[in-house]
Amino acid sequence: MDRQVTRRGFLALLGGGAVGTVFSPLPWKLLDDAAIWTQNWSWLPRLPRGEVRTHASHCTLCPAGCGISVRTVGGEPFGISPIPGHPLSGGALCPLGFAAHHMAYHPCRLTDPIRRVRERGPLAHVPIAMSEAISEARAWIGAAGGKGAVAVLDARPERVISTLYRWLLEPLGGVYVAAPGGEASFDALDEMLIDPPGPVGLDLAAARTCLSFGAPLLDGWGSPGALPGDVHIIQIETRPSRTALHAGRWLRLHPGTEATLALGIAHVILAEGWANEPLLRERGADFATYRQLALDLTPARTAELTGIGEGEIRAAARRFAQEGPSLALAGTDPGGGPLPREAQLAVWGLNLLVGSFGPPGGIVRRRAPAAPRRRLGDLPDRSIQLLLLDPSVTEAAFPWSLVARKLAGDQAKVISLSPYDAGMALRADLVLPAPAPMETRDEVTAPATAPADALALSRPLRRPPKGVLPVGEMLRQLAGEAAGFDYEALLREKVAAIEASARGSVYEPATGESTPLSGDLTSALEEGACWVDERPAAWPLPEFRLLGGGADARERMRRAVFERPNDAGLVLMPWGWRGAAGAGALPQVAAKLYRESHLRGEADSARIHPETGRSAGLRDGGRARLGTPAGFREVVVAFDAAVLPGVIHVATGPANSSFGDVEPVLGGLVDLCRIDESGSWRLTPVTVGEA
Amino acid sequence: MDRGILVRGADRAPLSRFGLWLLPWIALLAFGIYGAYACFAYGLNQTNMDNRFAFGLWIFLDLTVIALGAGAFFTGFLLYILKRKELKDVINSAVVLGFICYSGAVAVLVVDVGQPIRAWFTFWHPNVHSMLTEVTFCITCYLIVLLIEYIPIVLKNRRLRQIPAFLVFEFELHKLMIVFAALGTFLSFFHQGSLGGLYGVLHGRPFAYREGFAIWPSTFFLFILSAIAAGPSFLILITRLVSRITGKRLVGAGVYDLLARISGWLLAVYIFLKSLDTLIWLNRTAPAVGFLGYDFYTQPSFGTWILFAEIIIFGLLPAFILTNAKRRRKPAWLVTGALLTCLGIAVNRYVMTIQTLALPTLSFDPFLQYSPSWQEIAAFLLVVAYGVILFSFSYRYLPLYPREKELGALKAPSP
Amino acid sequence: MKDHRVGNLRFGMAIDIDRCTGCGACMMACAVENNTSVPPPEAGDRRGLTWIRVYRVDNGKPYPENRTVYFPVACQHCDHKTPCVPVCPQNAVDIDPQNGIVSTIPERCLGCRYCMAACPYHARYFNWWDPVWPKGMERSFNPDVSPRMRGVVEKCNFCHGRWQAARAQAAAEGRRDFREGDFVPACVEACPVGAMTFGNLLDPGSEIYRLIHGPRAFRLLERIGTQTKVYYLSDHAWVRALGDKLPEGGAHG
Repeated sequence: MDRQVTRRGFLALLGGGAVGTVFSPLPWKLLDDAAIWTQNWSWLPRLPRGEVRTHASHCTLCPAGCGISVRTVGGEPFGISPIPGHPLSGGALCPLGFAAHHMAYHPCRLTDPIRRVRERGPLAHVPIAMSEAISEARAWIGAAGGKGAVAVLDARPERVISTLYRWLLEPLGGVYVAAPGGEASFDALDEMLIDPPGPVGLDLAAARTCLSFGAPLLDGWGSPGALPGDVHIIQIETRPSRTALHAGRWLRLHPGTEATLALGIAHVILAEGWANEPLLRERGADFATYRQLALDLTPARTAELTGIGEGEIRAAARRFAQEGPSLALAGTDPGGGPLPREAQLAVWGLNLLVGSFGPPGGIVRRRAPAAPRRRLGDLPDRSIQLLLLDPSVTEAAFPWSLVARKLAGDQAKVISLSPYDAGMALRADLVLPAPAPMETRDEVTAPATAPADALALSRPLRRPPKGVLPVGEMLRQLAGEAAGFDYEALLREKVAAIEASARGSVYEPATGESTPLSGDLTSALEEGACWVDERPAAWPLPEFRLLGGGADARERMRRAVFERPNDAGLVLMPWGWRGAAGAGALPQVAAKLYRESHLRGEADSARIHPETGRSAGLRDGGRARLGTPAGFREVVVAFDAAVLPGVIHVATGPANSSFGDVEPVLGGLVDLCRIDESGSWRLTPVTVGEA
Repeated sequence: MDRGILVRGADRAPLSRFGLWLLPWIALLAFGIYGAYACFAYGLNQTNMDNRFAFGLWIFLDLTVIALGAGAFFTGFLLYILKRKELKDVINSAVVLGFICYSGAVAVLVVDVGQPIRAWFTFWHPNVHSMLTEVTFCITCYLIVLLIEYIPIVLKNRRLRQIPAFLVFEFELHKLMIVFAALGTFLSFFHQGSLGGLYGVLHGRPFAYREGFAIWPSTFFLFILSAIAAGPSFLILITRLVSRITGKRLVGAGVYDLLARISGWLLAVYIFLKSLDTLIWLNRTAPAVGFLGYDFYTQPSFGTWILFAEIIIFGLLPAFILTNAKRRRKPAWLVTGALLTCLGIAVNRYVMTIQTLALPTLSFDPFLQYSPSWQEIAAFLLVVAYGVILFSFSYRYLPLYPREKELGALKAPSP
Repeated sequence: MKDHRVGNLRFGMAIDIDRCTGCGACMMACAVENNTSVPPPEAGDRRGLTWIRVYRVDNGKPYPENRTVYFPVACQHCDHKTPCVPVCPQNAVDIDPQNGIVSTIPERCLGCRYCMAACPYHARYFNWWDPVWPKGMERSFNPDVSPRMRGVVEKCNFCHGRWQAARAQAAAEGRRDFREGDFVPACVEACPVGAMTFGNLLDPGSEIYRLIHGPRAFRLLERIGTQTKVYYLSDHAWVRALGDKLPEGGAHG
């Protein structure tokens, strides 16, 4: 063929081909396929498939132990809901509980032990094998010589695990210490009672009036969620917390004047004759001294010192004394720490004044005796050579300096058992990976403030990664595989003991009913049931010292009550909410939601009165620099007309951006705080300037 | 080097100088492509738009650019339907300008949507109640019309003319121009109007919502009017700009005069109707849902000054200038009037887009601000650079201005 | 547009503002139930994905006259001239004639955001980023809700996945009617103080019917005429006024 391919011909072919293609199925098929391609990129997650099953269990993120209903698919939990009417939670669940199943996938989650390599950076670490980690830990245990040289810090005492810790420490002469902070501190109450009758609980649900001195009832105190329906809450705190804003009455007092107000209320109660004075005189070893001190503090003086009007003080006192059962609570903010010792004494003392000790609606007795534990502050300085941190300490919020001063210098070692390399675990030289929620069988007990003991189980609903051992098993290995270190066996023993006692009732989530305990508790617990102890009979008022022990008790109380703390200048009051007060790991979706809604105080968010802010040169929404002798910190400022002038409230917790790609940071706001003689870090003088 | 394809009879700069002229625009184009690429690769988080400012710089500029590109269809309407022969001088450049405006707007829209590959879903699942569906269909059709109108201009190129098939094709196509002009007019009325209708139907936004006729809110008609008022003005500006840059007269004086007169009177009618519409809106429409006019202008950045600026400085003033025969014959006045008209349209689109979204609706909403990110600006500059480059090539190789040679240099006395 | 309503089932919600403590459990339960993605920290509160968002609103007065309430706002499921339904160019927004739920088809959404401009309640959220999940986390997703990709709009749909599961359950039981308690959106189930009620607004025997016809009920932006199906309850006049109070520049939020 002699035909040449000309350019024209070629162009004609192209043109004709283009037109023809339009009439063929090709472009339309490609368009259609594009629709499918845009819906199925390879990086889109594939949803799990399988049968959806529902299990009743209990949440372990915090001591509240709320009952939860967990849906699983393919052996993996995907949804968590509260169980209405549950005895531990009242049918509530805090926001964090809904995403407990996400914690297994947290970016900070550890699947291998890690050894800190501080030469490369404060948080640098290398993963090591479990066997190597255990043998290194055992070497450190062996090397720590002397009585009191090994210590365990536990934020949730009274569990079976706590027993294992004590067994570990016993041959070493070690000390078992309850971590500072926590939701309730009964230490001052113990000091007040000459012959402590054992553990106590607070029967808030049966009270009619509650005088809450800073107890964050809505932010993680006892069980989360609701303020009990019928109680009239008088919230006494400086900060406009959610509890304060929802309480029946909010008394905004000057920072650090809780003892003054408590004694001021005591004055009114005594002056009006609303207290059972003969009984108090009989049981109270120092009642006369206390009475005199209280009567010296006139309502006018109280008003002047606390900033609360006289009328309010009288009204609160009247309500507390006359509309009982009443309960006065010495609160502990998860981020701000406990009240000072004298304030606690004064507040608990109010319960004794009105007879709220024993009967329902007041301070009630719990059954199981507490095992002895030491307070961190009581340990000698520089005495600990090896410190073991329980997983519950990871998210705790207290100044690390409280611990650091007890460590024996640079050669002291810290081992943390933690599912995440975050929070307090960042302080450790060795971190052993603990299981994430719902990966192992865990014991759930009633919170420390509950009026009765309880026992339930958190059931394993997903398989932990290989290499992650249950805490009990790790302790067994740390103890050299000593006999008897069998967590499961100890738990069974505890259940058997309860069965044998035939006390209390069992709540069945399937039926929603509580029936008296009879017969098999073990299988009921395995199905998600919850055992609640019966209330012991009210016991007679023990003898007490309202001003606490020590020769200088009166003088200390007098100083605490009559002298207003030096508050020239700005005062920093840190605060937190339970589960997120420390720099531990949060579900990513929680951090996301709070920063996308500004609903809760995200870490380093500060609230200040507009005038105070403006006179410090700050802008609403701007950044500020806080300075204390311990260091500086940048915060984001929000003006709030409800804040007391002269105070700045800063939220503790994990930084909102500290998940995912960004490295966690050592130390938090509480490390800047000043610690007073009683170990409280609630108030810190601070300087502020625009950042 | 490219002598063979240059416009016959007219003088053009040497290729090297042309290349030098293109260089900065190509650089801008590259920058723009990078900005657009960033949005495709990383997502629309590259912009400063957010959940409150769902529309931002791009939508505002799209609407402005489409309104300014109305000169294309309106000139075609005036020429082919109303037989205003003077506009033959300028119709080709108007078509090219229109094509640039619309294709640029469509390009920016492709970057603006979250899922550009699904853009064709509107054709597959159209929602007859949505103004945006109407806009999509109309603009797509109109872009095709513009392409069809552009083709004969391309085929007028010196070399391409020599191919008999193209010559015949171009000749036959030219006979159909009136059909395409009519079609273009019809389509343009609808999409210019629907772009206005986009805002007017938002009864959840009392600032934007307007009453109207049947399903069309008043903004439907106002947008059409403002577009046909601004189109000729934009054409005037561009033609004078090209004239300045090339140093040639390019079009007869009668062209400017006609365009300016039409623009001025249309603007005057538009401003009258807009003022009427504003009064109705402030006194009836908005109060019917409980909003007093003052509520819309409490923020200093969007105070009542913006309303007065739009109507008086950018509306009455240029109408006043352009409707007066003596004034519009003076180049300074002409350019000022045309510029103010175009800016007025931009202000109007800005107010309807950005102010609508900035105003809080719930009582606990804050007033928020928005300013575009560099990626958004880059994508828009992409369109500008693309436009300049395409227009430059068209001017160089295609007879955009048929009377160019005849009219001679800018400085020479008019023939 | 012709009336889309059919039958006697119209889902709605009542939220008691006096009870809401602003804990955010509803926000958490919603995000977990719907496999909501986690944008990076720079998203802030303007580019987040909060299908239900709790606003903190106070009356701006100093102590002791200060009052603060928390306002959960999600899609209001407007019943009359739903602003977002007629504006979507590709019919990706639909109001179900049988139950009144306004839902989006994320696979069809083009991401033009016109519906977001139309919604006065800021209930619609755009995926400004590609969702990025830790490896393996999709195993813990809710299998009933498809995750969304970047560039599409999403919003509350009264937990449509749960509604479909409830319908399947009812069908298995051989019935076609809806009974109170058949299904409940995640937020309502989660509220620890029981501030949220959900049900059929047209059923005179239901709890929600009683609530919305009481004196405490009000809606957001009633004057615009959207006839939202989410009601709010409060004893306090200043709170009720928030529904229609004219916005001030820089109102507290």
